[in-house]
Amino acid sequence: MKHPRNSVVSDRRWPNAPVRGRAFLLAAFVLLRAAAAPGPAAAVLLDFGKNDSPLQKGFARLTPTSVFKPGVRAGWVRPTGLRAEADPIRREGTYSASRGRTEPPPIYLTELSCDRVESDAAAVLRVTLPPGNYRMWVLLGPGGGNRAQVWDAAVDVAGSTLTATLAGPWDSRVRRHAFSNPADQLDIRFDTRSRWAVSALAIASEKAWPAIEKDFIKPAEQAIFLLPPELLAKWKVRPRVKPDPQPQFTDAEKKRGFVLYHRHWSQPIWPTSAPRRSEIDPTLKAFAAPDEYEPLTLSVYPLRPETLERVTVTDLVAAGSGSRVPADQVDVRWVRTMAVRPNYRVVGAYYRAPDVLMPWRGPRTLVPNESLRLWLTLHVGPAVPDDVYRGEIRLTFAGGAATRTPVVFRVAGIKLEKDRSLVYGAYYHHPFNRMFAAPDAFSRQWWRRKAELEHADMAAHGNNTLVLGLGGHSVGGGKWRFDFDRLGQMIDLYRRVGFYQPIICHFPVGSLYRKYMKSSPGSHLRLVKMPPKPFFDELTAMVRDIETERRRRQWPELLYYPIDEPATTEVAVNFMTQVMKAIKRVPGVRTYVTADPANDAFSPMRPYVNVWCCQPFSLARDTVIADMKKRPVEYWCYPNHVAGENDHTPVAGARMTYGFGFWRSGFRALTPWIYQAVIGNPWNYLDGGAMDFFNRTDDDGSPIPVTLWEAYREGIDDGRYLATLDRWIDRARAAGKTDAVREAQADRRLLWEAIPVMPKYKYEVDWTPETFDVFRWLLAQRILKLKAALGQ
Amino acid sequence: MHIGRAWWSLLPLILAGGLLRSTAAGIVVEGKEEILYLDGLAEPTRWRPAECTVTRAAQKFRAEGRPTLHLHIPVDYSAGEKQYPIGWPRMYCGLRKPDETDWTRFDRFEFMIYAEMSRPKPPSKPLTFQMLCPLRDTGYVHELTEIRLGRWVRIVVPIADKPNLERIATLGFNISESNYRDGDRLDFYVGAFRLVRSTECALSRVRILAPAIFQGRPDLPVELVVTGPPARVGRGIPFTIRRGKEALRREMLPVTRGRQVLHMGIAELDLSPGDYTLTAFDDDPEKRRTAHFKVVATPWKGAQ
Repeated sequence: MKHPRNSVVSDRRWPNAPVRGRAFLLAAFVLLRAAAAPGPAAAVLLDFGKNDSPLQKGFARLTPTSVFKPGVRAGWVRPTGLRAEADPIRREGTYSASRGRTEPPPIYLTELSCDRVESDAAAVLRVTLPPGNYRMWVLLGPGGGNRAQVWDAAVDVAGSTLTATLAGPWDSRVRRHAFSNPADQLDIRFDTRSRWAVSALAIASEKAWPAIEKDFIKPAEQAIFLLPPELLAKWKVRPRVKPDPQPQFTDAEKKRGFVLYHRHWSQPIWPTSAPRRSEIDPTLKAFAAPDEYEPLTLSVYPLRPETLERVTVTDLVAAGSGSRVPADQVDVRWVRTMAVRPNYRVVGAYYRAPDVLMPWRGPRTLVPNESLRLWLTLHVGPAVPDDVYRGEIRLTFAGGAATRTPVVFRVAGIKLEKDRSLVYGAYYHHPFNRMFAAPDAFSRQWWRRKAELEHADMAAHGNNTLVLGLGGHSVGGGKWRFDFDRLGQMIDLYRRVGFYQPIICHFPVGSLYRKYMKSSPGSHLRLVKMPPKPFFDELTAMVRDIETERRRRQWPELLYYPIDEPATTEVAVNFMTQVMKAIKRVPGVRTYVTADPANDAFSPMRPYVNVWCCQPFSLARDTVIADMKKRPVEYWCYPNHVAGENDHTPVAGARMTYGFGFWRSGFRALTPWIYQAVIGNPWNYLDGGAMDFFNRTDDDGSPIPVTLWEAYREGIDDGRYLATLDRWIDRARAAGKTDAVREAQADRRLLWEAIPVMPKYKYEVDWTPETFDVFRWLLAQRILKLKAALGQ
Repeated sequence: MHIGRAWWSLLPLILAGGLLRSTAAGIVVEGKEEILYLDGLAEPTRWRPAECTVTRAAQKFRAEGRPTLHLHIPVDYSAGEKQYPIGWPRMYCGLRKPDETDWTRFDRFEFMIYAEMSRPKPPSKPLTFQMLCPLRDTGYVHELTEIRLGRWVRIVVPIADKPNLERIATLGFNISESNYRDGDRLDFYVGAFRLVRSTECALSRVRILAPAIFQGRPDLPVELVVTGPPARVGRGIPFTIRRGKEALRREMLPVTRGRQVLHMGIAELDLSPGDYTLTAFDDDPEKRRTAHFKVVATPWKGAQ
């Protein structure tokens, strides 16, 4: 639909509404309606874009050439370097031959979000606005275009600055602001460290705001961060859990308007969860060893609309010694629920699930009968002595109510050790690949910082490697030019955070295939045909060259990972078998494959695979251990069932998978897909061909964890207590402390026998959440006793 | 439990011995169990096959002499649905309301299966059985890893712990072709469908969900799966908590049929750190079930 040119928005046009098109008439009608109660000119609704890009109903168009002049409602002041861009609004999918399926667009654009005005320099938008109190809403992004572009906006308005930094083409941010305008016009200044992009802006008087919010802002946000109305009407809400019954609240609780309650962090608190009487007014208790992180949660259940203003945590202090766990070692977050799909690619159904641990940054409005869960992570310093520490969590509400929740925290005098032979990794979209392609210095620096912070986060969660890729292209004559320096930068960062396990490394086997076969092998080899022998010879030469350079650069071991999840067709398996053979012609290298070793179809591949990585613990412990003893093979696991791609909430299953269950399985590694999956808008899990999941990114590039990621760390920590106990048993045995050793082994055996043996720990973990902690403490207690027996 | 092919030929002798007797509701009693045969499920026309065929089995493939289905699957990597040529050959049977859809009074669903394949051995996941109530995600999926080539095997699906038993809507069988090789030919013979329940109250599962607890915890969460006729179940189950040989408490606790989690109050026992046992049916060696738990001193000793 084409729209009339109305690049200048004039006050004078609104009351008389010259007939220049239906859209303009609608906009004028809406503005008049919004303005009717509080008086004229109470609202400004601007849709930024091109002269001919779609216009949101009720909004006025603003283009780079909309210049402010007297009598005009809104326009740029001396605009230079402004540009407008627009992307098509699509609802239909595109067929992918490689994947063999139709993929929906990455995000569902709307009339408001499909177009924008952008620039890499400052610009001032002037709005004619009578003096008064106003609210503003601005939609920054999506910027479209280059995937490596980091969009950055600083919007100065009435003495305040609203900032947003968003990466890639599909992310967008909403910023809101309340302000007083003393003059007859308002200047809004857009500035940037790279490029800014604005798609929409709304300003209305305080009085007019509720109607504007209801009629324009909420629908716009719903279309961008959930689904456009025509799609939303087709999607069904399919709740995962039944609502909890409410307890009988006391008169005091009703009068106060909320209760505080505690539920173990590994039990999700859903939008329909309600406290049990026994959970209300808790004392929070936990324990940890020095240099360990430990989660603590506290939930607010409002009985009426409330605003939680402040959350403060005091120092935790030991009564006798005065030793402290300082408050600044406590990271305070709140659990954000996301609209999620029931499975990775499901279309047409969703529910709300607790997922992302957002940094606490000030007041939050609480919805009656919907819990707000606070998630605190305590980091115990390395030199904090063994003692019981006490402190408080203090909450302040807008109405003046204030609460104090006691915290009792035991620090156990244990130096935790780790079984360093185990591998904890993750598939990873390395931000350096965006950094290499970024169009400006700020974007490059942002991607670098993102990578550095994420690596530090992975290390702090217990990881010791990751999946990397080596790029390259054929230069003819059977030779390849590889991006060794780029991989080298990634390996430098890997080393800087202390990673030490082999790197799973994919390399351009697909490109080599295309060179010989003039087509793609398809996703998971669905289109593969057997290439001629020179293909395999050249593959061997590639690996030889990579290995030579790896040794020259003194890099850690690379596990050669040619193809992801090969199909079970005869041709795919034969192809993979020949590929593995070709790789192994290079002396000393090890191969890695993501396939189920229990599947007979893969048996021809078996002699050439060094690392089988499969989704569940699909083989029994005895089988795995016997085979690893017999041959140079290892069994690894990529536990995607607890990584969020089909469910964001199996938290206890994740802890078991990473801790006691892993110990029981006999497998050597956990490398899930993926540290961060962003498909379309990273804050909208319903758009794109598949669901987004796992860790998110803050505007400054720092990671925002999800509950499952925290559960991984807790599982790894369970394993550290086990490893530490085993070392102390060894020490005690060497010192002849047989009674202490026997008792410790009895507890270890008790735990071993109590662990349910399963290929997948997801929902079936039937321990109570506290059971993990009790067993962990049983181990800690035994470690302390062994230390004491050895006089330490 | 594997039942040889010749087993059913002994049936007349067993019948003559009076071990089975019929009841008015079509239920036969066999020892301490009541059995309802669902031979109607072995009628091929009731099943909706896709990418496979289902017919009535020949006489020599009748499970325990009862009507039996023959599911034939030619594994074909290039046929099937356009998007999923390597697909899921399957067959489904809608159950008749109300006679076949309410399984709440039974403890187990059972059937016999016999498999032949063109390959020398079955894959690790040869066939999947589904109970849909009415959808897959409200039902139950069971991998039939028990299958052996050339041998009748009885599949026992404990159902007392399953949800939605009052609305079993559809039964299904399927393979995933990716578990097989292109060109494999599979023949499954499935029959002797039946629902079974115990004539006595018994426990098919006792599991302490907190096998280690902190000292001072007021309750012990115990998962039970109770089988047997409602009248007998209603009398409750006796439990004993012991430390070593010393019985600390004996009590009769009310239970219901099926899976449940009992939060057994232990506050007044004031259990000190140590090892304990929980025994159900302590005085009945045949039905006795014991689970262990440990009480651990808390990390916050002395803290308020």
